[in-house]
Amino acid sequence: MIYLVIGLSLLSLFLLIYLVRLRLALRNIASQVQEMSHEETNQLVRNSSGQKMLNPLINSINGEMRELRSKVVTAEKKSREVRESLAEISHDLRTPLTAASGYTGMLKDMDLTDEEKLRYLNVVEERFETSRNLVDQLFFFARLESDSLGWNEEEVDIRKVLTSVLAMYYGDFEKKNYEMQVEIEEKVMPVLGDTDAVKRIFSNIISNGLAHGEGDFQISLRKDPETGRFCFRFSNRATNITEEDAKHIFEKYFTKDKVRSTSNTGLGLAIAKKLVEKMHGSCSASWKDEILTICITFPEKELVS
Amino acid sequence: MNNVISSQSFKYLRSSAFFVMMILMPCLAFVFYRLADTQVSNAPADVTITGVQALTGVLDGGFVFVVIGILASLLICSDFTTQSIRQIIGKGTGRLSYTMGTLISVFLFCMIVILFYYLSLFGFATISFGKAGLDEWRTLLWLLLATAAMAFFYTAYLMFIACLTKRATITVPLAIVTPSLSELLASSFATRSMKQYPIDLISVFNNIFLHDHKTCPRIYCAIAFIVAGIIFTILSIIVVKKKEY
Amino acid sequence: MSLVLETNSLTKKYRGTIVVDHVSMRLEKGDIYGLIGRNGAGKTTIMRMLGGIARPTSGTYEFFGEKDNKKTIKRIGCLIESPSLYTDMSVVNNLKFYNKLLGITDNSNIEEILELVELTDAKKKTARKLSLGMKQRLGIAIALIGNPDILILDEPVNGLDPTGIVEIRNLLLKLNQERGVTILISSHILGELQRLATRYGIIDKGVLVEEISHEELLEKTRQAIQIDAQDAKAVAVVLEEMELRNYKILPDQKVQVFCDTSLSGNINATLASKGIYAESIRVVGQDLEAYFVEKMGGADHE
Repeated sequence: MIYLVIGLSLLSLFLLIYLVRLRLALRNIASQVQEMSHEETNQLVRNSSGQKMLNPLINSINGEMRELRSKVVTAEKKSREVRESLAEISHDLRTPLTAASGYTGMLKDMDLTDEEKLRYLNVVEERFETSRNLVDQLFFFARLESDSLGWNEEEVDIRKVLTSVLAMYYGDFEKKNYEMQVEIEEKVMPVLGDTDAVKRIFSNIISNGLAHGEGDFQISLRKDPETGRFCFRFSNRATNITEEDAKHIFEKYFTKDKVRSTSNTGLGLAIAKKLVEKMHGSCSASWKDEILTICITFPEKELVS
Repeated sequence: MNNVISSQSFKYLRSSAFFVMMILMPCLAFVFYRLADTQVSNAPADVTITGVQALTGVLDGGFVFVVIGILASLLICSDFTTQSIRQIIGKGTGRLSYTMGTLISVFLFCMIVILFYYLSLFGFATISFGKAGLDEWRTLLWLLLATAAMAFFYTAYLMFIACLTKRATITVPLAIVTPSLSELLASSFATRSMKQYPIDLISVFNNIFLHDHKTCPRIYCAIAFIVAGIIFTILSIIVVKKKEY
Repeated sequence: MSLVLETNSLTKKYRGTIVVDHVSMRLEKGDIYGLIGRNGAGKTTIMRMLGGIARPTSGTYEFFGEKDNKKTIKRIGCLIESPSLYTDMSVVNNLKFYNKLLGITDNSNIEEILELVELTDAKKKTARKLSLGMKQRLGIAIALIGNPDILILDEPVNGLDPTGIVEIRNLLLKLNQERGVTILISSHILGELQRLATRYGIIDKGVLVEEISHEELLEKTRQAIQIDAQDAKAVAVVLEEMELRNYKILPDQKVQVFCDTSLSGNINATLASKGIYAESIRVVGQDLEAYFVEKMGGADHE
């Protein structure tokens, strides 16, 4: 009889201790969660009680916290990108506008010759042109990113568009005395996309090359025998960039020398890339032996439909 | 402290020291048993030995000390030789938790190894003599108490030494040498009157389960070990709290 | 911006010698703070104090604005001097050990961390058999257990080959940008920190000589001709005339021209002839390495 009593009391003692420990453990978890809600931290809840049965609870709390945090991280990243963009834009506009303002100030000076006045007015015009160009590109880019651009999906004859763009720039190439080697296949499959977008893609790449390249221009539009897709290749000599730079040229605002000018907004290639991707194509750039090559691959028509 | 015990045990289970010891125990048990067996077989034929008697007969206190000493010092020092103590403390483990947790963990693993040794000895003897002798369970309990008390004392002592010196090159040799050293000191400095009591470590241990110093109650010896263990535990805690790593 | 770490006159004496001399540093959330100084300047000692391993002789430090350092120690991950690895155990088990020690319930973080440090293929390898670079990466992995909000790394790329250094750099950048982990990293080689740090703390003989942000440093070391005149617009006009189009107009009417610095005389003369008298026209900026060498009293650079 006495053994039974002793046994039962021991049992209840153990149960009591167990319950107390459990309570303490739960309270510990609660306080950990409390602390973490006050701080921005990567910490997760830990089990310091040795009670394995609490692990599922802790795991589910941690799971929720991880998800919440990753959402916060994404949101912050986006707002940071917006802030950075705004800073860049204001900087880029300040410089040409200040110069233009300076010149208009000078124009008020009565003692200028007609020749000087004309010169200054040209500069002012050019500076405003730069600013306007930048604003245009930015606006276009913003619409492109938010998908609010007008898009006319149709079959585009890329061969025709390319030849017309080349014709447009021919004069500029001649002026600079640049040679251009062109190779376009006779039969080019049409691609699904927006004609204006394709025009802009080609023209941004070509004008970029014109502004920065140093000669040895080669343009081709050929079918890649391996993949059966049409590839537009544009290459030129470029001594002032590196292999590493080539990986970044499609990035927004990437310019080799940190000055914006009329033809150098840093957005041209970024816009081209976005447009290509919108048409489900891909683009890449590589640099070897001082030759920079940009390659655009258009998808097959079947894939897009 | 829970987490320290759990993580240290996880580590010790995978340590080569523990693995080697566990393999070595039955082998050594066998060897010692064989050595003792020759003595037994020379005894008169009608004397039967039980497993328990064989166990207490073959058991050598010095051996137990050395086994526990080597294992404990290797396990404890693993944190110091790899400088992992820095990372452990650096991640927020309290120094008290660490000391107590490691002590408990090492103690458990030493007990496992030694009990495995006893089991092997007992097993061999029982198999060859056919008699387990479990009616002498009281002796077994005393043996268990002796081992536990002594293991507690010795691990605490080694913990203190290891935390003080942070070096395995000092701690391990000391672990092996201490029992013999205590014997040496005892025989050199003990007066005649003192010698009727167990003075060196091995005698104290033996007395608990063999009760060979009849004047000294076994329980006192056990208490002596436990008290010494507590003292060294406290010393270890102080050392760990003070030291920089 | 919230302060992740602030030290106040942190000092450490070893046997009478002052190894760290009243160092007061500030780290803000998201910083990558490069602690740079020669060998023996006191960098490691500072980190040992911050990691809770050594006790300061005097001075205090505060993490996350919390005075009680015991509460914040959970949020710190360290790799100081050489990595502390259990040589007998595999890579995975080394990490599991720390998971258990900290009471982390879910071992899925191990996979994630192994991927981050690129040790996934070696996870079953015994720590003893790892190459130096892999050991270093395992050390970083261990520091990452527990999701620290600040990493304290003492020369983490020590002994790594160039590919290894790039990998670690990318890893640290990723942690910093994607997870907002603040990083305190020390080195005696400028090149390692240049592409990583957002702030620099220059240490010489235990003294924090200068704390400077990366932008400030670039400003100070980029060479340009700086013109301080009354009217930036007028200056801009003249520059245009001279066909020096590469210029920047600063908010306080200063103009910086990025061109051959020998042209400063020319510019000055042209400005004067137009009636614009510049208050000062000088070359600003200094070579980056020279800057550090000067501050550190002689440094190693590779």
